[in-house]
Amino acid sequence: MISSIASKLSFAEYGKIIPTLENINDYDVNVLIVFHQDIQNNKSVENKRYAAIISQLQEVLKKNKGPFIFGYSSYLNNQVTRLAKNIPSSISSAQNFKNKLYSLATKYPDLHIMDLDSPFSELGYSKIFDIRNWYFSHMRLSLIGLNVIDNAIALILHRIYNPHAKVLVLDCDNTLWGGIIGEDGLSNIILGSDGIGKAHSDFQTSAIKLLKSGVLLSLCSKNNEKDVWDVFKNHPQMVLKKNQITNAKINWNEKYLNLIEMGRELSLGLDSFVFWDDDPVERAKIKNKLPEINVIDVPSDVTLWPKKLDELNLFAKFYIQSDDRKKLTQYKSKVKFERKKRLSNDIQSFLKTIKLKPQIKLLDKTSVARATQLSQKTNQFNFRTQRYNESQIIGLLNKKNNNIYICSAKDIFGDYGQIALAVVKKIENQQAFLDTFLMSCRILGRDIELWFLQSILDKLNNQSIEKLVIEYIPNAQNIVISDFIKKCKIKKIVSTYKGLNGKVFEINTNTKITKIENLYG
Amino acid sequence: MVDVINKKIEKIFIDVMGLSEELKNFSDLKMGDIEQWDSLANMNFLMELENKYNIRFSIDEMSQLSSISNITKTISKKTD
Repeated sequence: MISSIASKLSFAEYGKIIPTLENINDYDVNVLIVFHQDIQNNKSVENKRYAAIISQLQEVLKKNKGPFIFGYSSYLNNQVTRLAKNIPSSISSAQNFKNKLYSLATKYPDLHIMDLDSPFSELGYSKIFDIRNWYFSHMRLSLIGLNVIDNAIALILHRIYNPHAKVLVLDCDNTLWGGIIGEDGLSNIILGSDGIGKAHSDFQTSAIKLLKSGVLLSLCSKNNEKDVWDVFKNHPQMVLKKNQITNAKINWNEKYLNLIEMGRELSLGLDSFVFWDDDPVERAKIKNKLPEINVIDVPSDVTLWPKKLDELNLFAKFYIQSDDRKKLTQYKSKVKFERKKRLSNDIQSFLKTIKLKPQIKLLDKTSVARATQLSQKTNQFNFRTQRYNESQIIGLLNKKNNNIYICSAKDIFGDYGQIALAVVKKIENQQAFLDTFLMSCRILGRDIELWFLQSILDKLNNQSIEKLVIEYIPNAQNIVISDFIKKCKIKKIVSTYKGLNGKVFEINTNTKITKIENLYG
Repeated sequence: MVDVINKKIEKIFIDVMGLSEELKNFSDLKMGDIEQWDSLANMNFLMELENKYNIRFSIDEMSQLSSISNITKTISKKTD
C-alpha cells in the first residue's frame, strides 16, 4: 500500500535509531518504528535509551522537516503469573516513553504517533511476530505484521494529506431499526432490548458518538415522513433524536437526487458524504450515479454494524476541537438559512433581517489550530490555496511584517465560529500583499467576504498602507472567487507582478467596495 | 513439475522485486545478480513464497534459499 503512495522509498539500517535520527535529510515523510523488545534491558539502560531517542527526536522536529510518523510497539512477552502482583519495571518504562512521545506530539504538529499496540493486539501477537525471521534476518515481524504496519502508515499519511468525511447519511428501515415502519407499524419494528434489536440501537449509539466528534447525521429514506418521525418521537427504544439530525430527506424520490440536494443545502462536496444503507440495490445505484460518495459495503449481519461504524477510517481524525462539537447547530442553521433565502426575493433586505454580526480580530495563539484547519481544508473560497500547517502558521504569526486576521460570525440562526482567514504581508512602498484570503464555504451567501475584505482595507488604511496587492490563482474548485472579484470591481494589473504567476490585482486601501455600515441590520 | 513451479516463482519474484519485465535465464539467477535482490528483498520474497504456497521454511532452509534453483528444489520437495 505504501509503495503505491510514495514515489521513492528508502530504508535506514536496522537497529541504528540514534544515527538514523541524526542523519535525516530532506524527505517528504519520515517513518521510524521502535520495538520495546529492542530497548529492553535493566531499568537504567532502558531509561537512558529512551531519553536519547526523545532528545534526538526533538532535535529533528525542531528542524521542521515535514511529517514524522513514529511507530511504537511496547509488546513484551510476560507471564500471567509474573503480572499477578505488580507491574514489571520494563512495562512502566515503556508506558513512560509513550507518555513522553505524546507530549512531543502535542508540541510538534509534524509528529504523529503510530501506536502499534492496538492493531497488533487486535490480530494477536503470535501472528504479528515471527521469531524465526528475527534469528534469520533481525526482522521481528511476520508477513501479517508487515501488512499491519503498512496499513497503519497508509491510514495516517492519508489523513495528513486528505480531509475526513463530514456527513453520515443513514437509511431508516432495516438500518436504524429492523423491519419496515410503513408495513410493520410502530410496535412491530425491531429495536432495543435484546438480540438484533440491540444491535440496531447500538448502531444508533455509535452514530451519536460520531455526531459528538463533529460528524453530521442525515437521513435519506424512502418512506412517509410522518411515519419516520413517529418512530423518533414515540418508540421508547429509539436512541437518536430528531434534533440530532442535520438534514432529512424522507420521500419517494431517487436517493441520489436527495443526496445532490443535501450537498447543496449543506454546501459540502459529495466526497464528504458517507452513505449507509442496508439495501444493496440502493447502494449500487448511488455508486453508479454519484461515484464521489463513499458508499459503505454494509455487512448483511447487523451485529457487525456498531463496530464497523466505530472503526470507519473515513471519519477518523487527529484532533477533536471545540468548534467541531458546534457543527450540528451550525449546519442546521445553514440548512434553514438556505431554505429561507430561496423563499426571499431581495437578498439585501433578507441579510438585514438575520441580524448577522461578523467580527474581525488579529490571530492569537489560541486560534492557531483553527486557522490551520481553515488553511488546510478550504477549497472553494480561497484566493491562492496556500496550505499552511500549524508550525508554518506560528512562523507567519511571529513575523513582524505580517498581520493575520481571523473572522467569526453569528446571526439569528446560530454562532458559526471562526470562518475566515487572511494573511497580509507588508511589502515595500506602503504596500501590502494578501498572501491568504479564504472563507469557509458553509458561510457563503451572506456577503461576509465583502465585509471582511473591506474591514482589512480600512485597517491597512489606518496603518498608512496605500495599496493592497491581491493574487487569484484559479483552479478547478475556486471559481467562486472570480464572481467575488467582479462584485468588488477590483482592477486587474495588466503587466506582470514580480514573483506572482496568478491573476494579480491591486486595490487602494481607501477604496469602499461596500458600505460596511449598510450591509447588515 | 519443476517448470510449472519455476513459472509461478518468477511471477512472484517479479512482483516482489518491483520489476517491469521477465528476466533472461531466470532459473540461473542468484541473490545479488540484480540490484533489487538484496537481503531485505530476499526476506520479503521468501515470506511471499511461504504465503503463496502455504508452506514454512525452517531457518536452515532459509539460509540456503539465495538462488532460484535452490528455491525451486526446496519448494517442489515441500509441495510434493
